Amino acid sequence: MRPYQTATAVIFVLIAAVAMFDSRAGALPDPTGLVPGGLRAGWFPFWAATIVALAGLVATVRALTTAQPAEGAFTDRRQIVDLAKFVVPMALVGWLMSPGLLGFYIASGLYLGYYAGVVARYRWYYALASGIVIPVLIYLSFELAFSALLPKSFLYPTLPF
Amino acid sequence: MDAFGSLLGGFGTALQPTNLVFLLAGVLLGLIIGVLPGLGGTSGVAILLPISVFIARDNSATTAIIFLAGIYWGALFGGVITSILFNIPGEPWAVALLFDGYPLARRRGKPGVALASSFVASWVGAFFATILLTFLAKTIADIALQFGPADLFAIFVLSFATLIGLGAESPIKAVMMVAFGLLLAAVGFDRITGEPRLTFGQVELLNGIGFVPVTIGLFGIGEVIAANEEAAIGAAGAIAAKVGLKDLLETLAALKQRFLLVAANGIIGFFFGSLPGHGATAGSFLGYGLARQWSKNKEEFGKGEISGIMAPQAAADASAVGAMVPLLSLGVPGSPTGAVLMAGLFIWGLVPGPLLFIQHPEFVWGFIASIYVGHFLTFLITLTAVPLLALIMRVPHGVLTPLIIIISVIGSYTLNNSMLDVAITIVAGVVGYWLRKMKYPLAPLVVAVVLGNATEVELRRALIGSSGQWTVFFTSPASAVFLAIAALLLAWPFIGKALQVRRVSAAPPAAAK
Amino acid sequence: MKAMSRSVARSLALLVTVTLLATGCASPAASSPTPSAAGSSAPPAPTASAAPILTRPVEFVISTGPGGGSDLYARLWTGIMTSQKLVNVPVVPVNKPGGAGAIAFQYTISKIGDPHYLMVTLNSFFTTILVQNLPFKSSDFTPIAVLAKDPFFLWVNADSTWKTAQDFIAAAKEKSITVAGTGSKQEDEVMFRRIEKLAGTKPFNYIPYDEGSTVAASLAGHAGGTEVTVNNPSEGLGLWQASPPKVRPICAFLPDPPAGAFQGVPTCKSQGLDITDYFNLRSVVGPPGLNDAQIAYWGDVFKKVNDAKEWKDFVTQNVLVADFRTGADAKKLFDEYTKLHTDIAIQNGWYNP
Repeated sequence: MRPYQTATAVIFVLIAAVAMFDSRAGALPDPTGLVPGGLRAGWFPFWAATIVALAGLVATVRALTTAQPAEGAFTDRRQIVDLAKFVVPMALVGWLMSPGLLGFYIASGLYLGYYAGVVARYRWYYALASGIVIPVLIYLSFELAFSALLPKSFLYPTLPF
Repeated sequence: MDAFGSLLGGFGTALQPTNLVFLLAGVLLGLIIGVLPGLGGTSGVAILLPISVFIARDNSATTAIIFLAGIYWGALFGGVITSILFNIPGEPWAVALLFDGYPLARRRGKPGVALASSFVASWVGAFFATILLTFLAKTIADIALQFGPADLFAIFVLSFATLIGLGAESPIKAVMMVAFGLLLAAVGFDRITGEPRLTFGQVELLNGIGFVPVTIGLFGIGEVIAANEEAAIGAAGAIAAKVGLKDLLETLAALKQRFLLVAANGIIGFFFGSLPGHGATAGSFLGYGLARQWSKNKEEFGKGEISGIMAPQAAADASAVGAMVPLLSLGVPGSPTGAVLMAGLFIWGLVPGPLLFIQHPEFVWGFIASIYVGHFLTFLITLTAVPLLALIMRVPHGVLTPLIIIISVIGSYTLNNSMLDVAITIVAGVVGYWLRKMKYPLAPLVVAVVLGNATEVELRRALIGSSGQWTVFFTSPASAVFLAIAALLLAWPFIGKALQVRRVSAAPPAAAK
Repeated sequence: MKAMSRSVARSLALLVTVTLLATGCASPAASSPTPSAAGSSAPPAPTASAAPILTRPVEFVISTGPGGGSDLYARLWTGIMTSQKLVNVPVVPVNKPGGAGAIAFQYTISKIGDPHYLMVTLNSFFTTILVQNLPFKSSDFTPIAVLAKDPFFLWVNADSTWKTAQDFIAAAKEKSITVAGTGSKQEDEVMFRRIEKLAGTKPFNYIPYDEGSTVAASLAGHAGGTEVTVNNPSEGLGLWQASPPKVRPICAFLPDPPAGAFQGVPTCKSQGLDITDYFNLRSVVGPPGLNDAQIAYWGDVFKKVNDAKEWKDFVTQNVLVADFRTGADAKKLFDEYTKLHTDIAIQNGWYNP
């Protein structure tokens, strides 16, 4: 666990450092009285980031100096592969949903079908049903019944989704 | 005129067949809108606002408001369903329900009890709130107007104080998560100066990192990723959710034990809702925090404690009712949904405000009576639907897993029609999975993301009003009292420990972790 | 497998029921805004050209969340268009809040030449684009129609000792007065900075709130020390009609005294505060590059919206100034407002050209 805990804490410190740098101009209360209320835009994020950084440093030191469980974050390499197999398609679908690409309905249909058919290994007609029926139901309730528009595909001017 | 007599007249209006039919239609639509991801009470009412023009024209403005408000009540009940079953909050105030609702439904396999608890609490909370609305609207509105930025700031600090340490094994990690949440909340457009902060030149980021996409990611998607891993190593079996009358009896027994807590939260929530601008979210967090502080078994919170469902839900629904106070008595909306309802009044040709009571009493009292009727209807419908809803837990994982991800995506997109929010949700999902694994508490992070921006803005508004004098937080009595309670709550663990140490100083120290 | 298929069937049945309920409940009330219904029953678009100008749902972009700022106007106009079947496709209000309008502006500007996008404006349409240094100008959008001008009034708490604009100005010359308004560097602050300059007062201590109604409420409760606001009439009316009244209008920034509910309130000009040319514009713009036929089509639709009884009543009741303009007239007003806001932004150091 030690390297994982250390790395996580260090990443927080780095993020905080970037935020502190970005909002450094407003770090101190304004003494001149020209800024309304005395606090500038950067005051709040600067000090929030400072607390993250300080706490992150303490967490880093703790991770390095105190006893940690021997096992890692993952039991074996297979677990990492499994995680990637789950997260990568999910992120891909999120990206493909963008308007002008596949749009919400096609992307989510493919994903539902892929998951039921390939990952969960249902028979192909269940997978097909899942990939078609659910997007259609979403279309009916969102676009038609409640006029809430979801991102459309590159086919949009010709097809309604 | 005597309020009780007027209310009876109002019931006469609300129970007319046409109004009753529209109320029922509104409630049913609201329930569906609440369940659908991303469409909450506010957008639900807004979507049907143009249609209300016809209803007001063909029937009356009273029918129109009864219909629209019915959607609001329905959505309040419906919005908790995805929180409890999928760990996806439908509305800001349903966030507090994630902490215990989902664990009770999933980990303990009691979705029926979890759902029924929230419905019962909603109804009881709203009932007390509606009684207060009927008899004390004007008084409460006058008190609420006196609440300035300093007092609101103090209320937010108090909410934080009751929730600090929630789910935390390591205090340093909890502090880190709170501060990180405040930092995320600060991203985007600074509402006081209009300057962009931490946006790195990206216009999309001006809208900030919203807490809805963050929470949906951390809890909804993060949980799915973790479950996927557990399923792969065979740790988690599907829980067969058995639902029956037993669940209802268990819920009613739980309510009996917690009746005072639920009623108190109804009253607190009502008052919070009546403050112009804020309300339900802070109210539900404070309700949760207070329930936890008062509880004898604090450790159970976050693991499926029923008080952790009933308290925030009673407060949230009551504050929705409370939001009608400034709307009816002053013409000032108490919540975003209140603002949409008020837009409706303008469109139908009415002027929201005190003259309504005099010029259109049948409208005001018909509406108030419909709150009683609407909540009762919603309560009956949802309670009957509990077994049906709990069945959703039986959808096979090959469909349910991608469906939850898709629901999460819709939920985060629909709020602001923003693809950036979808990206934030997915990233937050992975981050949430990892932080959980690294034993970072997520609840403090979420609380800070939700309340961070409002806390900062009220702090700075108060300072502008006082020309930079920090004493403003102590010269206002309400602010001083709330801050003192907050300080006491924060210091209590240390005081408690000191007392304990003195008491057991003779005994050998407990084994360290 | 059998058990699974049964639960699949059961869950699908559930989903179908829910959706049928949703569509079923919505359609009797909502029949006209749905595309299916509109496709069959709506009359053809009133244009001379053979090809219809609109072929798919129109997005009416709103730069605030539901219930905020301009949302009410977009939804009211949409309701009128739907009820009178003025447009052959559904018109869907779409909220794109954030960055004082910046997100909505950036979205709309990217839809070059596409008549399926409209945007309702607040005056942030002029201020935000300057203050945020966005990579486009207000004049890049296509002006469609101005429907009304929402006036500003000068409001004080009911217990204030100031009876006229002059009382207030005299006090403001002595010390910095705490005032409140909607947003930072937007219309309300523009008003206060103009008063500051015109009357030569000390700089106001300006507290930004998110919504006009919260501004009015802060004045009514003395919350945060607010002493003066410039709320639109509809935002303060309820608090003024309360018994006892909580706020009081001192004067109206109008060329002529208001009528209706505000009968008897003098103009600010008559009290020596000569601002009569500044209003919140309730108007509609489209993306850049719309052609004349498209502009004329929408202009015609909004002309009919403007003539609708619902809108006329709304204008009277909320003391709006009716000033319907399309085409070149609308563009002229937009150009004046762009100039006015640019001048103010430069004077106050909000914008460096």
